[in-house]
Amino acid sequence: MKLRFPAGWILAGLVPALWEAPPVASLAWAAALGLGAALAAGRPSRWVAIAWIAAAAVPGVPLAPIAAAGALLAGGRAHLGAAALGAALGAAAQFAPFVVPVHAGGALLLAAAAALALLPSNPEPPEEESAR
Amino acid sequence: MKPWDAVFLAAAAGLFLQRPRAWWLAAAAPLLALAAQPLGTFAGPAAALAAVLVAPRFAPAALLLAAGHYTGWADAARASAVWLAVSALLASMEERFEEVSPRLRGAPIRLFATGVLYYALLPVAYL
Repeated sequence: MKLRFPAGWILAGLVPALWEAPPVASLAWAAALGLGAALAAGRPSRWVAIAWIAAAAVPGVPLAPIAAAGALLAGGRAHLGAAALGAALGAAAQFAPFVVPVHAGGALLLAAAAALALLPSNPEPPEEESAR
Repeated sequence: MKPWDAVFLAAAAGLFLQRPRAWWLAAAAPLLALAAQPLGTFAGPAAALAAVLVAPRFAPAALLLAAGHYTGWADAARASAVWLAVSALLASMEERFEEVSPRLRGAPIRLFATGVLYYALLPVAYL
């Protein structure tokens, strides 16, 4: 199972807030996520290729987080939601560095849990798979 | 991305993916990312491709692990070990996750547990 709205875009949207990249990197990350939703068709290797192109086009953009966020999500709506949230959180982290202290990841996960609890729909966990 | 953040984001992502038998192979991603560093410009793509190849059905978690900035082999090995431990711990709590109130059931309780473990295990980051 891949993540759909809303848990997916909230989890993937946390990624730009946690890296130390230039402000333009968050926008490039969002653009790559939106573009990749149409081209990658959910295949991780294609996401690596799209992330590679984005990293080559915009210096300072980390490759693995783009591929990870793209491969994690399913459906164009989730990718666009994650792109919008990630760009907003990435910009917020750049312009307000005091909200991203040494270890902000846990606080962001707890905030995401609280936000999801307030939203009406929660995704159910996947069934355990028997074969690789 | 800081290794500690990458580890727990990967653990949280892993909770929402179908877990293949060899899910633990994704723990090699930090070591592969570090091994790829001498490749210079190709370090990022090589690390990402290696992460996808080593755990194709658990690729998002492996890619998030590969996104960490590891300063040495000990750093990468610690990230791998912590991710394995946290993932196994969270998997063992799956039945407990069903016992919470309906509003917290599903994604919220899983992210909440991951966030709590993030801070509970934080001393390990300073070892």
